[in-house]
Amino acid sequence: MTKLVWAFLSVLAGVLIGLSLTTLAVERPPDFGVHQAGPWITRPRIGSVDADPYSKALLAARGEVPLATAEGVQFRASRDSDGARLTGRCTYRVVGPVPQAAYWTLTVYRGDGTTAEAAGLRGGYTSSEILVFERAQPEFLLSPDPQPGNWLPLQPDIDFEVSLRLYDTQVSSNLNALDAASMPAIRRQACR
Amino acid sequence: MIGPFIYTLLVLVVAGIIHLSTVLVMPWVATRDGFLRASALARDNSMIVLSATEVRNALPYTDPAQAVAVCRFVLDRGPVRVRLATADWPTTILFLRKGAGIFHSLTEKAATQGVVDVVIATSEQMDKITALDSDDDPVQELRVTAPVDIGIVLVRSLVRTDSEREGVMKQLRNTSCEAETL
Repeated sequence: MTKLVWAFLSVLAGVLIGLSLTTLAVERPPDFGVHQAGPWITRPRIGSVDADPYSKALLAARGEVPLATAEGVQFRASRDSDGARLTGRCTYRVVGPVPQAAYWTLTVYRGDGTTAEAAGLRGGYTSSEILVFERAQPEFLLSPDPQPGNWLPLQPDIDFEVSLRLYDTQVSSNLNALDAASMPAIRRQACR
Repeated sequence: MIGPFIYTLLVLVVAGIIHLSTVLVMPWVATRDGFLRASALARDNSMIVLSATEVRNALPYTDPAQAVAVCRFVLDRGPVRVRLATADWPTTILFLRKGAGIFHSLTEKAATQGVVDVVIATSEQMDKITALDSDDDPVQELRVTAPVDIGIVLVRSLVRTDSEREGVMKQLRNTSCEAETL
């Protein structure tokens, strides 16, 4: 009888641990097939049938339809260049080279996948509409307070993530050549 | 001494099985995944252009610079043809199925004479279509064999500047998604 109770408890513990691991895997998916360049992470196969099971589970949980492989490459950052989580309480300067692409966009997402556009504010920029000073690299200010230049508003009380999407690009064929120096840096400035 | 080892092993094995099976099953049973969210806005074999508000509310993590149109292809009555006139901006046609996500995609670069003309059909329908091909006339249309009878076609165009939005929406409104008879 004692053995039966122990076996039942072991199975129960196994089920709970298994479900907890799945929750963790969706919230912080393992880095199978991931390419990292500075704070930016991309999952090159996420927009194809070859996506790994963890990427598919992540998409299902987020309700997201990713960029298709033919469409482009999407990089995400949920941490700054020093590894700290991106929070809406702080101002960030995003500056640096953008990999070769016909067009690209930079978007700030809240945890539920919405942008500041839901509140009538700007949620992102396309490469065709940013202000770039002569010979300078693209520069953005992500901040809860209005900023000059390419400002993207943040909601002060929540963490956020940034997406850099490259459209019509050959980058995916040579991702290993991309490192932190090839991508925009995300530098934290002042915090509230 | 063997008892604790056996029970620990049992915990690990059950945890592994539960973890792997739930990860694999999740895309198939998820009730709020991208496929079902897009499907809720779609009509059978008819292209619907979504407003920016609909995209924002229904399709999380979509690029706000993209305009979106959606069609649910239903192949039980015959293949479905999607026709899209290309423009200056990048446009992508995605084919999705429940569980597996995107199973095919193509861009405006696949156009012939400014039009992307895609036929989506089951493998049986595709066999009939290819049997009707003539050796004298080269096939102009693109053909996609669907692994399922019901799926989603998503058309996404990049709105590079706000001034182009009306042109992009017009392009999507003129995009068709219609069933054909064999």
